[in-house]
Amino acid sequence: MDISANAVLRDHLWEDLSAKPKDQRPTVGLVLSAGGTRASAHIGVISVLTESGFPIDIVAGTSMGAIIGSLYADGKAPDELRKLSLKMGAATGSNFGPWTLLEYLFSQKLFSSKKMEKFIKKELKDKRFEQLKKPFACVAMDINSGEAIIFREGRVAPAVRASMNLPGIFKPVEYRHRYLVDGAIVDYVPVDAARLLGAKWILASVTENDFTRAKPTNVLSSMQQVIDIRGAMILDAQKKAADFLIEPTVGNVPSAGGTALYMTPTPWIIDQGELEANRLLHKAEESYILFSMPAIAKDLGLVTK
Amino acid sequence: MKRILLALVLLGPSSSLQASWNIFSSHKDPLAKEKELFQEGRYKEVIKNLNHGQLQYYHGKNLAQAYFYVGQSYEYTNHLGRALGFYELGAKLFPNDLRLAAALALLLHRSGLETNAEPLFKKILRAHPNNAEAHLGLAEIYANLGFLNRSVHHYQKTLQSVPENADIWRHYAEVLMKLRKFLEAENAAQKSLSLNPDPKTEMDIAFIQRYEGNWAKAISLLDSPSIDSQYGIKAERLKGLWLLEDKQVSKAVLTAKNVQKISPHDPIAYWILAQAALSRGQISKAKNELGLIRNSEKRSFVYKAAQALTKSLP
Repeated sequence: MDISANAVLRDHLWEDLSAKPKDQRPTVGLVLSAGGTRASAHIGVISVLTESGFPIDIVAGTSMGAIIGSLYADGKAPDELRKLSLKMGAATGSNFGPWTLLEYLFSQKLFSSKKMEKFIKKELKDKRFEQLKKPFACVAMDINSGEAIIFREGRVAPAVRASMNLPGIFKPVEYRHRYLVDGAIVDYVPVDAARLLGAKWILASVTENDFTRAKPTNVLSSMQQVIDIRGAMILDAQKKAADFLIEPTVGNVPSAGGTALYMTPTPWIIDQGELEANRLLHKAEESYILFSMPAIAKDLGLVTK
Repeated sequence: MKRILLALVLLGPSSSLQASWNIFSSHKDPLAKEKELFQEGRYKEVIKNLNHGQLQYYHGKNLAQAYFYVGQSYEYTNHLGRALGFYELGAKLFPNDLRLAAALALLLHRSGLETNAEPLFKKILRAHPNNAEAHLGLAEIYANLGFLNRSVHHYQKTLQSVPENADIWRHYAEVLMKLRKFLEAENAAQKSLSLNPDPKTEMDIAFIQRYEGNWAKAISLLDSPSIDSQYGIKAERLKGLWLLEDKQVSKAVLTAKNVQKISPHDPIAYWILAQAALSRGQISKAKNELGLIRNSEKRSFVYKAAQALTKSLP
């Protein structure tokens, strides 16, 4: 048991702050970045935060971060998220198969991500955003205007599908009179979406690609690489906009899971999220305490016996 | 401490690996002399006898045993790098030798190379699913890395085989506490205490009581003579903070003043006095106390918290 001065004061302030009702402390937003397979490390981050009792009031995500974020916002426990993600494969989110692959190769017909919508619809029982246990937002890009479209109302499943709809591989999703593709191109770490929902202090889990060393070996990983490079151009500013960052060391993991078509999370990737979140947990608590000091000070003045 | 505990359990005379090894080595033993030297603690002579020139005369299990003796001898004479080299080479040449794997795993674990040690302990468990030493190794590794549920699983497996070790119960309780499973944590800590009274366990129980909101019990535990002798001023300032949490402001002030008698510039004592002043509406007094924390380490959390609180005050 660490009973150094720093540890005991942190513990003293944290026990009080984390137990406060939502309306008596700054709203905490958890932002889950894009990153394809790498982004499954978010599950490890969520696992550490929930086990330690870290309050999370709002969730926002892009692409794979949107898939994990929506399921978490609906109340799925980290263990369930882990099991679900490890069941994911190429066929979970696409109509990938021999025939569609031939069509893709010879007639340039794009795959469909309709199955991802069905998957999310089934897992969330086709809920609307406002029916989720925690406020949630996800981001897609309008392929006609290049705008980042932040979804925070209506049905969740089509919005999440749009958010992970990789351009060049999947057909754009037609939704609310827009043609939508993966939001990672314009909003890799959707801090803005969490702010829009009312988050005051934001912890972002970022699974950036170390593309300087990556060697894409297939169409998908090349496409994902381009998205990651585009995302990296705006990433620095987005990272600075967050109040605390957890960056699991998964930069060397290919976005599209090697040769598979899409998303093949592994226990190792999830563990990297858990490792890094554990390493930084107390720092995150300290950051939130310092940010919340006006709320703490208000209470300190009421202590009497 | 945990790693030393594991070393004692893993390589001590009660080790099941040791026992199984002794069965193999009870026949005609070309390493009998080195074994004797090793058992007598004459490690330098073991190293001298089993130098690289000598090792070439051994084969199979004998060579594996020679690597083990040399590795252990280097380890006991504090040449950890050399010990590591012998274990690694031995484990590579004899991948099925679990004693070498265990020694290597343990040394890696002791050196904080947890992710390297983990697969070796797992390998031992594949051969011996109930091996308590390997379960304990994994329990400690997972606790250090923060994989708390996995750590709990392996502590439980260890305790099935080694139910009377107070330290293992205490470490198990600490992991449960981090998982905020306070009832289970208290049961484990009480079991540890019943096996061997230890102020560290009493401190754990005090924390558990306080996390559960039983401040009176927690604070009274901090007053126990054993905690006082082990922790001294650290327990006293903890008491001051917990008294504040229990809204016993006057007592908290007295405690802070006691701390200041021993350590006049203690930052936590200043904090307690500042918080007490705030509770009485004495904002400028609180600011003064917080200002005194500036003397402490500027990058510390206590200093940053004092600054943030000062800025938040009118």
